[in-house]
Amino acid sequence: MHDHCDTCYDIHCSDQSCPIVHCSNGCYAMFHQCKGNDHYLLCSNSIVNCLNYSHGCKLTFKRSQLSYHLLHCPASVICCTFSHIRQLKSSSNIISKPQLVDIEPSQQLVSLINDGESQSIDVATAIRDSIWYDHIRELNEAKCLNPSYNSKEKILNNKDSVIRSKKYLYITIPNCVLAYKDGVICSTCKLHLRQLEENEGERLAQMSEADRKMMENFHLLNSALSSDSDIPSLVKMSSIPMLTQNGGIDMSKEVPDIPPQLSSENTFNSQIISDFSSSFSYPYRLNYFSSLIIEHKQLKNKLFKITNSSLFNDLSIRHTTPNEHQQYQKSNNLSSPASSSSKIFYCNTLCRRDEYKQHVRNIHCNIQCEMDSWLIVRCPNTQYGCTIEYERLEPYVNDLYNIEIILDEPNDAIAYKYTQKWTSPISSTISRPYYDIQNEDDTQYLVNLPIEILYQILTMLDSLSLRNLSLVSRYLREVCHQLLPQKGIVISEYKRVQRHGVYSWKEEKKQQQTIRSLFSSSSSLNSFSSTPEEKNQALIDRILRVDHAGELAADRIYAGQMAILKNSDVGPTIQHMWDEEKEHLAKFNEMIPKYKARPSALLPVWSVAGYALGAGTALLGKDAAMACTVAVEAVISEHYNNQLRDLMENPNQGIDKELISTIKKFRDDEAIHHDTGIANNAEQAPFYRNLTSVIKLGVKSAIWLAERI
Amino acid sequence: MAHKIRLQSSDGDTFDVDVEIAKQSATIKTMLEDLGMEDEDDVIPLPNVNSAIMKRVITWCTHHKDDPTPPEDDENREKNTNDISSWDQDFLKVDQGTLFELILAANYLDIKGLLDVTCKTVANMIKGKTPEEIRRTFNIKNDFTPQEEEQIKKENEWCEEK
Repeated sequence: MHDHCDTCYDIHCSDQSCPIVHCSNGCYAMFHQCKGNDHYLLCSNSIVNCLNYSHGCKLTFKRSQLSYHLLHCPASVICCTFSHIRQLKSSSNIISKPQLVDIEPSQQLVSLINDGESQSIDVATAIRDSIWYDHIRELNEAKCLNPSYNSKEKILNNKDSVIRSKKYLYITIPNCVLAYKDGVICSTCKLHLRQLEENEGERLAQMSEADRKMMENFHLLNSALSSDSDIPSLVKMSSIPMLTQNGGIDMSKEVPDIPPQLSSENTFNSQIISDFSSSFSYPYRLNYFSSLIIEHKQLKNKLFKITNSSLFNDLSIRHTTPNEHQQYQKSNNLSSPASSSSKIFYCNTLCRRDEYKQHVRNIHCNIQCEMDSWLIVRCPNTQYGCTIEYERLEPYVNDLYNIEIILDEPNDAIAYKYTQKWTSPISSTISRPYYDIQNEDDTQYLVNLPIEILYQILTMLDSLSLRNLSLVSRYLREVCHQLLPQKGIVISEYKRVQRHGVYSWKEEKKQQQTIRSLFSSSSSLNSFSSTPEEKNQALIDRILRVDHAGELAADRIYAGQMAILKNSDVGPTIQHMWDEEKEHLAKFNEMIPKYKARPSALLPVWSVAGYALGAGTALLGKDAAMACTVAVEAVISEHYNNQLRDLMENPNQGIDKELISTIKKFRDDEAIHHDTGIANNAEQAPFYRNLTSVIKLGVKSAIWLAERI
Repeated sequence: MAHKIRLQSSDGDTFDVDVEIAKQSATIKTMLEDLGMEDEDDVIPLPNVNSAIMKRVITWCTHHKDDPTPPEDDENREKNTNDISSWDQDFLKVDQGTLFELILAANYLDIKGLLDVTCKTVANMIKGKTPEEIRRTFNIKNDFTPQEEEQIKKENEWCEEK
């Protein structure tokens, strides 16, 4: 840039060496030619990539449209603000100050450090939160105890800070440098720094003894503050100033009314360039927990401290050696986090806008909300030490793997763990009977076999042997239980009955079913082929029952009619129809035992009702009797048709052929009766239409009842 | 191929076996493939198998060396336990201890055929027995409380024949 142009902003400048040009993007700006590059860096019409280019948004547009786009960009990084609350529990062993006593960390913490052990997910997340919370508390305490923290703030405020130059250690630099915490210095300050370095020697010589002492102390303090061993990875994330001018680490707050503050300090985020900025903690968490695995020893020491101090006091989780109890408690009541003993934890996961929905659904709705009582159900007395628990939802099991939901500590995320099917599913959940392990009785070969082999033996057994085996001992019962999803179980179906005015459930029947857990695959459906046959049997049972009852009723109806009308001119007709019904009844009487169907329990009712109906309509006149016949036969024919349709759905069942042909024949017979009735002036009966509708309704209800009872 | 391989049991006895016969064991087969064909002087240690069992396993493998490889079967299929050959049945007429040791050895050495046939034998020992008989056969203690027994009986009464 020319010296003249450096200071010249006159758009009508008549300097010949460097003419004024227009912006080629059409933004109406005019400037000296040499400033062109600078201008295009800002020009609102120049085409830029979306800020989220590194996350996958490939759109390009004018710079002026950028802000609008970012509101909707699917690749925008969002910080999830879902929060969960943990209650602080007070316990009897309150230690007021952290003691640096070297004690053995409990089992769970050891497993936290030793990668590979998985614990149940709710305990794991509680542990993670408690470590996290405790760490913050420690830092806060350290801050309070250590006045130099504050003085660092003061120094920042006073625009005097210590920055290490390459050559000299005691150079103070104005604030603008420190705003770029990743060490990038603007050119002016670079100049400054160089000048200071040049004069450093002189200044040091001129300083008084006291001043020099102060500087040294200051420097030492500062370097101590920022060393890695004290605050792991805080400084690694150079772009996330955790000790911000907001005065703290925003990971867990005491009852905030507002979500985490946005701070303009943090927009220079060299790790994640996005349109989003906040003083979030996620990268901190990530680094912290992943460094747990990497930097073993350092953190083991740190965890010792944490173990002793807080985990036995605060945050509602106490870790134990096998002698002590395990307590935890999680509050569900998000609407009243008002008590000071509950701490709010923010999810603070970074995710893209288009992934956010999935994140919320999977992690927050499906897993976290259900974790409390759905995924893992614990005895309500867990806080007093009961360790009974079981998983309610079984993740999908396919042929190769079993999948377990765990908390992945290095990545601080909820993840699936795949385990080979052969080796995993059983051993973790079955506990060998205590006496077995104690005695190591060598003659108990079967129970001492490894579970996988026992499992293989059991797959060779039939159901009855399995049932016998399950009665042998508790351990074997559990192992057989594991086999259930493949084999299916017998479950009872209950029916609500009213007895003496009181409703209760009574067991109606037992039915064999395959277990379909929520996520099961189709392999479990293959293991039982009898269910369609069962269904078929039920269908035949029902059909025969209702038909038998119907024919009995028809027989009685005609009997009733004959009793009144035997001497009239329709007598022979009715007699003829009655004989045919007798034939039908006889046929059903023989089919019922043959197919092992249950006859209707209300047979006496049908008998009486039929007789009454026949006699009643006959008393109204022979036309009425015919009308009754018409109504009944109409419903019956249609009913037989429906049954035929149901039976024909399974054409490959041989036994049905006889049944089908029988019903067909009967249907035709009933149709003939219907027509006979019409031919005999049924339609002239008084109130023909009403009568027939009432009778039809009655017959239909009777059919419905007879099918069931 | 008369190539022989030396297998050493847990008590220190070595056995010379044809490579083809030894390769029925998937464990040994993988070991050989991974380590390359070694000299005749080197032995393959098998610390989980003692000599007596080792001998029997070798006998079985020698008899079955010409067997076709069994097909990959679906785990869910209910297995037929009647198809044990008479030679195998005689071979497995041993006391329980040996039988279960054979199972463990077959599992360790990953010999599918032997594992199958031994498991089928045990399954046949379980089939058709009442719980009490199973307890007696396998020396298992009944650790149900009387209340549990009561409850289990009630749950199972549907399949008692009346």
